[in-house]
Amino acid sequence: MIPHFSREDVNSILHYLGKLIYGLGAVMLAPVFIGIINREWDPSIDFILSSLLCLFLGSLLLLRFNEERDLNWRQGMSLVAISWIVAMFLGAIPIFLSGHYNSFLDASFEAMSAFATTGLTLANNIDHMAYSYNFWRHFMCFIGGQGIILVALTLFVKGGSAFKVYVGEAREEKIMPNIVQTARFIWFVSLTYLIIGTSILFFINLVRNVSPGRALFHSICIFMAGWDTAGFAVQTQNILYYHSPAVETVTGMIFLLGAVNFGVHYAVWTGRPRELIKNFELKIYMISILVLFALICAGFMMHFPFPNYISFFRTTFYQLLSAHTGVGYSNIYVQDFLYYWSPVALMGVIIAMGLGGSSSSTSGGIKMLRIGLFFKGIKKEVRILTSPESAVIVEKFHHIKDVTVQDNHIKMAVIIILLYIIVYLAGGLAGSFYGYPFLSSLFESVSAAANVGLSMGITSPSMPDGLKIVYIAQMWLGRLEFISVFVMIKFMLSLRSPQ
Amino acid sequence: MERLIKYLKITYRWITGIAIELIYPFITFAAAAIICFLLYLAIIKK
Repeated sequence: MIPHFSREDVNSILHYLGKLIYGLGAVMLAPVFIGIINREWDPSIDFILSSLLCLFLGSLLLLRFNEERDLNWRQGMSLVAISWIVAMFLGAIPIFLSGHYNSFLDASFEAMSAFATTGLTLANNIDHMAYSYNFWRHFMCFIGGQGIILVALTLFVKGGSAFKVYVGEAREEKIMPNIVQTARFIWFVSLTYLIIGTSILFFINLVRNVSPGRALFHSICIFMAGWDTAGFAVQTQNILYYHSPAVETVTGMIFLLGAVNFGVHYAVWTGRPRELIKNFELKIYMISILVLFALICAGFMMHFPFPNYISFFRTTFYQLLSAHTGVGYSNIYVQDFLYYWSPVALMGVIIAMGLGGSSSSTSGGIKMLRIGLFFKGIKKEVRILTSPESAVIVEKFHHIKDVTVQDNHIKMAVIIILLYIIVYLAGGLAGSFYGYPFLSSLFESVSAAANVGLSMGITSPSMPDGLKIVYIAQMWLGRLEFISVFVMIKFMLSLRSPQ
Repeated sequence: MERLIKYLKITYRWITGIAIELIYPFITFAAAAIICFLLYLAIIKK
């Protein structure tokens, strides 16, 4: 029997939640600097007030629940699931005050979309949004992509508690022996690429005659949302706004690298470059990208709307890469999917979105390692059935180190794959329930649950509130990969029922 | 001196690591461009 949650559990969870809220209040001060630089006084006050509210709430929790104990697994998992919901509500406050959102629900949707690195937006008139609000939208993507908990790990959480909350946030691999060192390495990789990516984008924007201040702002925001595979952009038209093959190439490289497992980055950066060739997950990823790209291209056999090869390649490959890495950047109009893309090509994009990027990366979706394990499981079963009964069948693969495929690896992979498919279909049916065509609503549902952010036009401020809540739940479930949410639900139920 | 050599080695590995990693997107882009070109030829000759 699963033990009931005790008062001690509640105390521990709320103590660490207080720390996390405190951390959120601290990072909320970053947009204040952007606001002061750009003389945006009202937005700066919004951020100061929101930050003070977080610091006040965090302090209250820390004062009331002041005993710090190491978290156990169920406490860690519940803490993660609750933290993301609390972060959504608190992160929504400053952007709701901006007046660019019709309701607090819309602002909450935006905050969850940013933290979960989805990129679906309900903002009105982004083109005229103050720099500080726009920066906060992208900064939430960066915090969420790195992991809200990971941010906290490097600041507040130490000892045995760290690994439990790290795993709860859908990251399984300890890249380094110490989990806090692992968190710091992930920050190191991201900040290194932040400098490289932002510098290149800044240079491209300068060449395009964009003023230096504006070029720097766009470059930082585009990098943060690209690297963390979120897909928010500074302008309503997303990447199409730039009409620049150079921007598309650089952002493509950024989000392709963002969707690579941090363990692979570590291996390559510490003198093991062959990991790029040997890694099982990267091989599957490359094959999947190329096969689905061929499917999308073949989808234009009957109706070919492109003027030449370059336009064909630019449009189709960017959407595929954006879908597969889970970034959601787009260099076409939303309506183009409806009018020019065949059902076969759309199915290619939907499958790519659903599959997602690498495990322990910033991307969402099922993840390539699970797909690889699924096929390894099939291969193992076939080999068992076609071998003598006395034969011992062993399947291996190389992922950072040599790994022997165990039955529980396959079982967990299949469970998570099935859960994702159920959530994708449930969201598609919810969209159909509200009267949208099934293919469009499936597209939107997969985009939300796999934290991608591409849209066929359903996601807008005018969509039904019920569907907004469904997509918020999908983004949350998809980002945390179910298990920590299930543990939290068990926690909530046990609080209601007597022991 | 030993410490300096150690840090230089780490920096060297770090820089070469980044340079090698950047090859991965280029290979993906090149392979996709070839596939796209072949399918483009098939579509326009249809």
